[in-house]
Amino acid sequence: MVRSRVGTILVAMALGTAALPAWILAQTPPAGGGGGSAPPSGSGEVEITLQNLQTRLLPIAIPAVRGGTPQAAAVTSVLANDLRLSALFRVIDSSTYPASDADSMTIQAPAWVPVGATAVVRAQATLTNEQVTVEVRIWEPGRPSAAVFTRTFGPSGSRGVAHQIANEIIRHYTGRAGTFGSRILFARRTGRNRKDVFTVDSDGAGLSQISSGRRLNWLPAWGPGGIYYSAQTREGFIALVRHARPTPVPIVQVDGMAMGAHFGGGHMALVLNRDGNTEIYSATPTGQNLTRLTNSPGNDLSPVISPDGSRIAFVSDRDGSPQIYVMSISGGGARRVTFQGTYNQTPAWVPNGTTIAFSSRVGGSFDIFTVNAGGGGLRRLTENQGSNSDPTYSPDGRLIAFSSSRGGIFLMNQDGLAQTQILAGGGETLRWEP
Amino acid sequence: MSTVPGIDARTRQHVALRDRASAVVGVLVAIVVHIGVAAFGMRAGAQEGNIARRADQPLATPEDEQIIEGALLRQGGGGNVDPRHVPHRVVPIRAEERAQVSGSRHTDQPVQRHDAGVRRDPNSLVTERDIMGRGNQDLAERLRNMAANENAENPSASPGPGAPDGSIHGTETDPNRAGAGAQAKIRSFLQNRLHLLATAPTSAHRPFLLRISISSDGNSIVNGSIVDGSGDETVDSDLTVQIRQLAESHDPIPELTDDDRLQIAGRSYRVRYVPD
Repeated sequence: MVRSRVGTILVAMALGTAALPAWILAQTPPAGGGGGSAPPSGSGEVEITLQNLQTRLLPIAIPAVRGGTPQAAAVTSVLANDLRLSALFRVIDSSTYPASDADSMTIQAPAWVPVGATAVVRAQATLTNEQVTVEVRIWEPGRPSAAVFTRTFGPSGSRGVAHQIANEIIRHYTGRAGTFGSRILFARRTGRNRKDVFTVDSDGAGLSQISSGRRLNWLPAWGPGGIYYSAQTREGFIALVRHARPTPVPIVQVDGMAMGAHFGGGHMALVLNRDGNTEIYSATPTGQNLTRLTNSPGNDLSPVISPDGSRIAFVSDRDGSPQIYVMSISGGGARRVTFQGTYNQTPAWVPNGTTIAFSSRVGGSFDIFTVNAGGGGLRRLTENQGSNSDPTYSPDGRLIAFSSSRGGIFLMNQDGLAQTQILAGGGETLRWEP
Repeated sequence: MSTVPGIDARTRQHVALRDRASAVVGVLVAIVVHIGVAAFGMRAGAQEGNIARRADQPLATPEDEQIIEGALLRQGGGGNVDPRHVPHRVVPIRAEERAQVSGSRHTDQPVQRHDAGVRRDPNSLVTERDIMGRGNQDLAERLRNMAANENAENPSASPGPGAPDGSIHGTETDPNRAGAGAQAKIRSFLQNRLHLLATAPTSAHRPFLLRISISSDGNSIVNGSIVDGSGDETVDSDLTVQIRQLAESHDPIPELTDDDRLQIAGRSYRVRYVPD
């Protein structure tokens, strides 16, 4: 009996001794790994932490819109230009596109990886009575199982369709539609003692003269029913008029100057000079109920109403040099918001009302800055790039158009990056169509 | 001429000659004594590097080696002692860092990095000798030099899983710390090569987790995938393209040393992005 127990214990010990190395081996991970890309077990992996990754424009490929017509080619060109100007996308050079994947509404995803395309736009245009209809699909090589965007646009003109496509692609990737197809209003010198008002599409195409081409027509604004601007009368006064064919409609006409109107929140703010001193007034959009809002010994001018209609930003030299001020829509509580620089002018509200862009003289030239509407938070957007002034925000607040001594009208994003010329020639008092 | 009264001329001549001889002997004895003292002093100061010792003379005698070995055995408890671990509060520095440290005016000598606790000899700028704790100063210096020389002469040796400073030497067993130098280079590489999309505002950035694999030659990234996505399908799709581009381009991870490549070859890493 005792022998058998001892024997059992010895057998158990022997089995245990034999099993122990096997158990140890089972617990030990294989040494080395050997293979170059074989993933080891998760528990043995080392973790690397990244922070503060830089952002980049979304790389997008826009192969030629299929259809074989000039309209299809125009859609391709306008769409690519819009996305480039948006400062959100990097349109990949078409010379790098894979030739093996050129004639289809789908993509061969692996062929687009070396190109670096995060998105590929496939489009097919059909033409009916000079109107274009475009079917668009967007594919992403990173998830190629299905198109991430499928829509049909038109029928419309090729430029209009292309702007619609661009705006909806921007919406797809940002949640807010783009604003291509809107116009920018501005004045430029057209001769000796002559200025005229023009519009241009926000991609720089479609330049159009608005005013008559006689005398001074400048300080334009978007308002109810169209375009307003200040025009010199035959008598030499300056009147506020609304653009109309064949003759502009007078809105405010005084013995002196009525100029620099701005509309918002059901109000009109404008500058009148009746006694040699410019002051800011408010009125209805039709020019009724003129009410004086400022009463300072200095010059008060360039009023712009905030997007919510509750405040007015304006320029005043009441403290000795032109600075930006903000007051309520009724004229009270004027508060200076710029304290740096000796010549700050041309304020423009960002559409969400938090920030004011303006131009400030630095040395012998102007540059564009932003400041919080309540003061502080000064940011410089342009520097060492000529003289830059007259900023105006796009309706979505993502882009700023401005005039530059580099030659014409430029676009940049709200951080001052991706500056691109859209129109040659001068321009002043830029106003982006709301 | 004046004379001493009571002493004749012969006696005066004899006394004069005897005084002269004594003076000469005295001077000679003084010279010999001074030379002896000087030689002894210079010999005794040989460790300080003065002219008494020839430049090619060995620093230690066989007797010294025995003393060192005995000291090592005592300090190591009788087991195998790695001299790199013995020096007083001195850590070896990586080869690539060595060139950047210029603590010695002898640029061909290995330079040691001192930790914060070591007491700096105020005369060290002149003597280039540090007070290396209590005990035998020469032994401490000798051990330090042994460790530095071994590290410099055989940098590819991989006896252990790595040291916290990134070299492959040492006893660090935490994989997050071993080879940290190479990991830092991978991290820097990815930090520069991976981007988020400008179409999403910074406030909308979310964390994500990737897995990347290093090639068998330890030179580049050969594979990658998303383990936990950011939740934004476009961002994840863009990351997928970026990782594939990295893997297909075989762009080398910059500044890797042979040590680093040996450390990371064939390994995979989890790459976590943590937004601010």
